[in-house]
Amino acid sequence: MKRNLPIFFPLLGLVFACVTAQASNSDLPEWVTQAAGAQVTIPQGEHPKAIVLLEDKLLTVNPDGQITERYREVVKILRPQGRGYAHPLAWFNKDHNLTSFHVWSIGPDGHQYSLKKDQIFERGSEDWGILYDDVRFRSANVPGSDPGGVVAYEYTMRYPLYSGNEPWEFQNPIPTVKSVFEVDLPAGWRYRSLWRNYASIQPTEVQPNCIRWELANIPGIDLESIPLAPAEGALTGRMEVYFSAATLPDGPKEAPELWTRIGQWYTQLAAPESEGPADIATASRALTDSNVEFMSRIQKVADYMQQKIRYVGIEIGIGGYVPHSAEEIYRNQYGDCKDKVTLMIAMLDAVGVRATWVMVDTDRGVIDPAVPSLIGDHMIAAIEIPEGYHNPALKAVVTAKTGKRYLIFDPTNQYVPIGLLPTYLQGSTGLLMAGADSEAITLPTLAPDTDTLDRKANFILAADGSLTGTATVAHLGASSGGLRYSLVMSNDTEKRQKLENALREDFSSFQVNSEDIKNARNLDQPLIMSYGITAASYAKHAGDMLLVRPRVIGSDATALDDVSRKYPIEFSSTRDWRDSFDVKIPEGYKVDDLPDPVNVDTGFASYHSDVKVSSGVLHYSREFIVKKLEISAGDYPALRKFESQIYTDENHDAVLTKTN
Amino acid sequence: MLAVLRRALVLCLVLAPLSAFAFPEWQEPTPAELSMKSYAADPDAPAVYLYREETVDDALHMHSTYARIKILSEKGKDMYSDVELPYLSGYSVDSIAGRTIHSDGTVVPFTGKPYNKLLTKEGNLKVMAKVFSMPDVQVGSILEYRFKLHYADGIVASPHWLIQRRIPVVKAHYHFMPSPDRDGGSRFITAVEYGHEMIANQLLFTRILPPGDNISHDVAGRFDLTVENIPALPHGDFLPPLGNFSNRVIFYYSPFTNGAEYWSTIGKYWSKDFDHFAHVSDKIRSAVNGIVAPADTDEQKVAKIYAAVMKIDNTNFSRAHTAQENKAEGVKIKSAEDVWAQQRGSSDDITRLFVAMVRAAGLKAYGAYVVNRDTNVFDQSYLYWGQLDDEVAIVSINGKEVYFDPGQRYCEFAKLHWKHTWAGGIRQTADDTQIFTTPGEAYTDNIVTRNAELTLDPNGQVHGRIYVNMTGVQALRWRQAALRSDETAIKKDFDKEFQGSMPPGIAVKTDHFIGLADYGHALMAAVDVTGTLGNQTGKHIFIPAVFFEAGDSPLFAQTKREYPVYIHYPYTISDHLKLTLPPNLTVESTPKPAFINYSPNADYVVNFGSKPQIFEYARRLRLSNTLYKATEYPGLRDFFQKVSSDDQAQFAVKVAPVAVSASAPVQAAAPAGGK
Repeated sequence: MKRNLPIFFPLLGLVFACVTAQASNSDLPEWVTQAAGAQVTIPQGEHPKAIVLLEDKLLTVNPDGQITERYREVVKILRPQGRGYAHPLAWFNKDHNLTSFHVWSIGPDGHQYSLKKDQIFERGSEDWGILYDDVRFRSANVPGSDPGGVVAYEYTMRYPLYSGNEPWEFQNPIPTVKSVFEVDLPAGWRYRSLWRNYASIQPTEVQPNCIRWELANIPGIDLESIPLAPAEGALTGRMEVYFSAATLPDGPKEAPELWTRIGQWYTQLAAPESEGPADIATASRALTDSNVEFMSRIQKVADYMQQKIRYVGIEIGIGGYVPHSAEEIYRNQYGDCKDKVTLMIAMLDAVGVRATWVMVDTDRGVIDPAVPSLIGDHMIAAIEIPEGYHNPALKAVVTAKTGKRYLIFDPTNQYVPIGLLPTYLQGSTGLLMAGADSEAITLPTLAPDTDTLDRKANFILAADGSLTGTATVAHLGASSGGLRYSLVMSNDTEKRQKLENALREDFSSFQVNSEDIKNARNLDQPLIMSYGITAASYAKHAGDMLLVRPRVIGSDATALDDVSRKYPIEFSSTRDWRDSFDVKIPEGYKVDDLPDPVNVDTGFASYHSDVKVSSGVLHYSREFIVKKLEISAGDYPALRKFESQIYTDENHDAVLTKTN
Repeated sequence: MLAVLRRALVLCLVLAPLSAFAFPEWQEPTPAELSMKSYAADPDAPAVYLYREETVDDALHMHSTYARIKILSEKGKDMYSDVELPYLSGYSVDSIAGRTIHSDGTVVPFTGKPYNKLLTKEGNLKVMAKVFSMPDVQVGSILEYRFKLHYADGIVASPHWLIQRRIPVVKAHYHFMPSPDRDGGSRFITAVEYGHEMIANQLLFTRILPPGDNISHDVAGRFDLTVENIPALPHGDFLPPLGNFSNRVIFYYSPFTNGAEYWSTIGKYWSKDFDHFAHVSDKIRSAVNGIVAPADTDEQKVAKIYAAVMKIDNTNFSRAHTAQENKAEGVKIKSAEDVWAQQRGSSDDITRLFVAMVRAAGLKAYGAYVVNRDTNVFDQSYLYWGQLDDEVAIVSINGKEVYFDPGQRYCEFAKLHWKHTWAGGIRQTADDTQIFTTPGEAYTDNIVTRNAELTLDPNGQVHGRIYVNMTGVQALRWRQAALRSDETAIKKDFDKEFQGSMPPGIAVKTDHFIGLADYGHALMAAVDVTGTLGNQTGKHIFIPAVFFEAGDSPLFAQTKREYPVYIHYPYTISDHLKLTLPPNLTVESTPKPAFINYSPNADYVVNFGSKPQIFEYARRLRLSNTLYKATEYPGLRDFFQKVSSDDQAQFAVKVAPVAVSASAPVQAAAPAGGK
């Protein structure tokens, strides 16, 4: 288990429940019985499913850069669902050689168990899009793993020091009583440490050049059921330790220089793979050439990467980081994210455009610019923009410290066009891999007007309450990528079912009369869904009144709970959504009452809606703009109020009465 | 069935995407295949098998597969570009070859290497897979690949021809040369069932084929089948368990030649095993004597025994203990007596204990072994014991046979879990076994009643409590959920589920449950309601009239339906709400009552009542029929859409003028709970 946030237990003034494991002496290692016997205090009102009694990670670094890791973990199960946190787990692969794995447990009745080899099972990893990965894990079904039981395990592993840093991810979804991290360095080696989301502590030198950090009572970060929560990895405390036989950076340039160090390590590994053979250059020049206008050139290559190169991951050992050769990727016409970038670099190079890799994480906020690391899980491209070149279509642009401007592009995402950036990457940090010029960059947050939704509809309401009409819904921008993907992957029947399922939210009884979808794959064009619909009993009779909801389709309010908020609030994207609906009221009816207009601007979002009547037609219009990607926990009450106003507006009825 | 045969069957199931023995040459694509944009018989198909050939020579211990797949959409590309061929230890996959043919006829050979991937390794079980990715796949490409599976001497692996697949099959050919061992060439054990070893030297098969398609069988014992234009497997929501009714031919080696002999013989073995486990020992008698009183009626005796076994830790709902754990605790569960002594056992163990104890009390009790209706339909023609899932009990009380499900912890007395109703299988009789079907359920067996008393204050805030009473399926579901987690967790889950049907602005929070461990009474949830209710437009306030369903959507949205609809169980939902309004509000109008009759399948009734400051409604929805033909779908959809439409009714409230300080307009739809 890894990754979690700095929440401090309000220890004083609370009543604590005390939990002590019934560990008895046996052949269990002393560190297990010691951890299991510790008295644990759980703040009143909290109900963790389990608790980490001990995490203990010891890294022994050899002068040749090989690391031996010994990892220990002891977890106490407190509730039945806590069993899920008490799975012994040791991941390994070709480069990470698992040399031992032991599991012990203490049942709630005090029985002690030491698992034998034949009780350990091994599985291969399964990830979406990964055809082959040499990563495996060992685990076991552990006796006594019931509430009150304790599960402990230890493994040792040898692996090479890749980029010169290792993480200590001490915060978990459940509380941790004690976490220890120890690094035993060769004589003369130096280290630095950087912290995120947690107050740093000073280590102790337990032996010459053996450094130990120890934390106690680390609160858990459980994001289950928290609406609009950031990624767990963006909130959890973590320390990164950097070590080297040479001098390490220090002072205000420490983080930038450490990023550069990682970038240099990666660039020298990956760069040779992007040197493509002649046939790649030929293929690239068949698409475009160096004389074509820059945007057009990169567009052609980007289209090729998005449409032709299939996502297939084959990762062995360091292949989790290093791409396959451009030649191999081109020959197979498939590859994973870093492969796609690598081939793109080669193809762009053939037509006079320079590009490089950018390491990112698909969860916003996981990569911290102040804590250089290899924690990212994705690779995208940075395409160098010629000096003086400007094009309004290039929106996802960053300027590096070198003064070079780069267009950031994700070739793995087949449905966000070049120029824009997928929403999950916006506002994140990435590592621009540019050799000695490598640096952490902040990926752009695009303006709301780049991500739009326009719903327009015309309906005729009959006196019996039935509604007939047509609607057009146009999506444009990065947010439309998910829907485009979903539609491209659907057949006609499935597309209709998706539409019908969506309309179920707005109509209790309806019939779709026609439907049409345009531009699902034309990424620079709005994705347009249009349909005709008849909805019986849309308007409801209440005595002599006929109630009609002017906001006919599309609900944009987000449901929020009234629990006090500890964590920041994250929106999926900035955006601008607009509605315009006309409803012709039936003959013999007039408008008796209309909902009031709504005009709210919170700073992070705004909402305006209005209902008017003219020539027997109800006209509803609204605009909902989200301006920021993240707001603080302190803004939660304002957000609740804001969403409440949207709910109210969306559900307001206009009242029609008979004219005579 | 047989240990080895079972192993072989597992293998066949593992080898889903497959097979040619003497490999056919690559077939050259026709112009029509190259230019094909869609498949006329199924325009929605993401891809089609242009051809599929599976050849099995069980004598040579080899299966071979040859597949030609036309990619018709991005989804088809996604589904078929990567190939994964799982196999067990003792088997090997080799001779992998493939090529991609573009729609212009360009051929891209597969020159990559297949990777050997570990799926799982545990004890002696090791499952690997050969994986490879086809080169340069585009929409319009034809993918061709072939491979061979070899297995060791001493293993037989008769084929499962799963003819109907996720995509249509234009043409397929299957060939099978059975093992000569079945003729006694060499003795091999294929069946060990309940300790009985049998020589499985009869080759049988079960088949479901399109009309007109037949398997040919020549004098050399070879089987051949060619099929054409096979539609894709059905998929979607509310489908009956059609999985084992797709077009298929399942070959298997069996000790038996006919079903009557098979079910009778293995049934006897199972029955003997059941009775051996459920032996009425002195300890069982003693336990029963401590539970029942001589004066008890038969029903009372059974009820007391049932109550006693319901307290036992059912490891299917908690955690199966490891052998090491049992050894450490000195636990051996080999009989009903052991289950009672340890107060712990699996679902089947507990069912057998229940039968033993009822027998000890002097009643006739029988075991039964049935399929789980959520996934399976019992197929008597398929002589495969493994299709049976769970054991249930039958007790003769006052001359009437009553069904029990003691393996389903907290199942109501004399009831079955819904998945065990209308379920086929085999049962014990007084002196034999027989094939049978369990009884079904009525809408009166599964009732949810929801009663709410709410008060709206002058500021538009609503508060009050809902009492939800559940019997049957829903009660059992939540009780068993609590066994797997705990009450804190299921309160949250209950809130989440309940919140979904609430009107906007309403938040629910479960205060407590009554009867989570008391299967003898309805399970009650007490749920607190807060939030705002109603929308004000000018001088009117409109409030959802059918409170409990105001946030729900119609059950069936799709206009068209190709397959039958299968709703798991019949049910009744019965609601009552009383809403007290503040003095400044009076009910202006209420919706008209409604009755929707969809006889004999379902009905719906809702009635509204009001006094100046009180609004009330009562609603009842009953569903009695659970299976509908595709042709009946429009009627079913229409019924639920009408229900949903009536559930969206609102009532109007008039606002009396009051001093500004005393009231504020009703603000609806505060997004208080998540919906």
